[in-house]
Amino acid sequence: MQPATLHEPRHTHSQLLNKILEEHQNKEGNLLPILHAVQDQLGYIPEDLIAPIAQAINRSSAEIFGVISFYKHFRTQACGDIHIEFCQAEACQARGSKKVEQEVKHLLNAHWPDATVEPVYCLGLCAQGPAAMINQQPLARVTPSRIKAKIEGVVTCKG
Amino acid sequence: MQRIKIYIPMDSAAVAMGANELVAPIQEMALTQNINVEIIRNGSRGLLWLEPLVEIETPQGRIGYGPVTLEDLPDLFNAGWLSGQAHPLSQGITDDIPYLKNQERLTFKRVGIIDPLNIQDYTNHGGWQGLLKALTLNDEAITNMVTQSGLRGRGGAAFPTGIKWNTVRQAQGQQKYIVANADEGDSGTFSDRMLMEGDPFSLIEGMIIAGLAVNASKGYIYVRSEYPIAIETLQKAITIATEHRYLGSSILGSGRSFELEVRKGAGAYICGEETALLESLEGKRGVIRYKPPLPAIKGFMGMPTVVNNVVSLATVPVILANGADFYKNFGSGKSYGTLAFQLAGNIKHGGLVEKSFGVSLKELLYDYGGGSEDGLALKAVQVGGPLGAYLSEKEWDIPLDYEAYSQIGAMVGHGGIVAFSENTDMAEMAEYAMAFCAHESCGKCTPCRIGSKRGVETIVKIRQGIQTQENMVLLEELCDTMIAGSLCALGGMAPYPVMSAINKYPQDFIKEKVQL
Repeated sequence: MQPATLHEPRHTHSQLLNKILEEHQNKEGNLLPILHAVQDQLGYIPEDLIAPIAQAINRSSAEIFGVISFYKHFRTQACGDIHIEFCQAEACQARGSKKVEQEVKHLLNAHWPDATVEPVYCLGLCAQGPAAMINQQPLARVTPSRIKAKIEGVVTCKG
Repeated sequence: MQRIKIYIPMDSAAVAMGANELVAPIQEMALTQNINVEIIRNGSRGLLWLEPLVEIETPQGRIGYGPVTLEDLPDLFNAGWLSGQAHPLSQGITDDIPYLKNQERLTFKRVGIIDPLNIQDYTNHGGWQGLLKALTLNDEAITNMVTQSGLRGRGGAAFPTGIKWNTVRQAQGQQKYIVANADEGDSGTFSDRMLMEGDPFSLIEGMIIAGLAVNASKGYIYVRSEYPIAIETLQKAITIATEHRYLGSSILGSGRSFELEVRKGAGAYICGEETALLESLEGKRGVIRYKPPLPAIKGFMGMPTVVNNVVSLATVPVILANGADFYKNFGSGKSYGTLAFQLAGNIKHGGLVEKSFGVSLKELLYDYGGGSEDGLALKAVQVGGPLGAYLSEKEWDIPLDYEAYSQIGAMVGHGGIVAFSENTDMAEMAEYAMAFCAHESCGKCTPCRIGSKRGVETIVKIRQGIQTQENMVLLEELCDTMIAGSLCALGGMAPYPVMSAINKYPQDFIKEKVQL
């Protein structure tokens, strides 16, 4: 499993960005693909990359910031090494997700206080809720013990 | 040595229950028994309570075992599951399971059966027949066929697909586009995801046909970021289809071109609204546009654009291959064809049920769904996503078709069905409906942006028993304003679940007052 974040020194950020900008330069409406590529590789979109992105695609920094802040998927701060997106939507609620989410948060506080939990609205696992994504891997029928097993698997994989 | 085919789904619903972790141990255990196995990662058969449903190919047919966990494997091997022997997890021949057998699978006929990324498998199961037919017809004839089939948009709005295509076909523009709306954000829906993960070539084929019909040479599939497996599957499928010349500069040597690209959303529900989707595709905030102009006239980059739902597009090959009349013979009233209903929420046997329009909720909830999962009586059912009305038991016999539902102030929508059992507080669900609208509003229009916030505040007061009667009147007026004054369906329809909850479950709104 890929860790949610990689901490690269800053100068490599701009090298990475140049490569990404080159790959996407001929695409129509290329801003979202560029932002995704940055976040996929770094785990977040460092704010100091906003100006160079703006310059490369001939838009203002304010516009780029506006796009990043509009979409809940994008973040300008690193998330935890364990990042959980927990579904809040109706079908999961109908299967008791609110209670389970609280239990999961207690578990995380006790064992993995640096884990980050973010709300998400539907993962398309609506017949098997509560549903969550752990570092981009789907988990259905979530219980604290299933989360624990999954996280331990993640930590083991990272060595 | 004999070679046995084992199907282990790679659909998110199976992966989320540990399907990937089964692959290596199954291979290893088979090896120790000296049995040569071929593992095929198929889509899901749609019997989601059984995932991971592992199927073994036997001379009698594919025999399903599920739900299979790692712990079950030694026992399954001991029981001789690789030759289809009995075991408590055995479901018998998968095709004979009534849940599947009683369906009318047209759009989903290959999902779960084939290897999604094996183009030969797709071809062998009837794939590309629609495209081959389309290549013999002119643009007008293709469009007419889709119009005559009665196909309506499966994303929820139910607009006739052929009429939309005809507008784009006749519109002027240097470049036209086909956009697949795969921003399936409604809770209780997963049919787009299942199709993209289980039969991606059918969507690709539908989009190529749409391109031929309106003379568009470029297409985008806008998939929500919450669907990483669907995105990966589609990207691989596009590469394979391009290698086999179904996509590219000359489709099967016809001289007609079509290029396709997957674009990833970024966690904004509103981007399922077609104009917000187009803004997002152009690299902007997903704020909705005023209509007119319609996207069919000025869509992506200001050019004529078809925006269709995934299931609509994947149904097009069925129509081209079998004829408009074939498709039109399914359905009821003015709702022709089939819909992939999705049974979700508090339901024992959740999954995908493709049936002709006209089936009733009662049939779906009990004959297929087996009632609630928690064993309590079912209380309410939300049909058509977070903007759909809650239906109470006396409405569960009404046939599911667009017109019958619209008559009772409900919508069939995308076919998502979320069941709630007796312990649900409908006032809490009403509050959530407004909170969701507030959370996902793009902010362009005031009734949606401010109205939903005020809606939450008012429902909170009602739930606390503060001036209940006055606040009920206020809430009703607020809902009227949102319905009449919002620019799109988010603000314009969020009041439906709220008002339906109040009208059908008034006791849930007054009980707190009684306690005070």
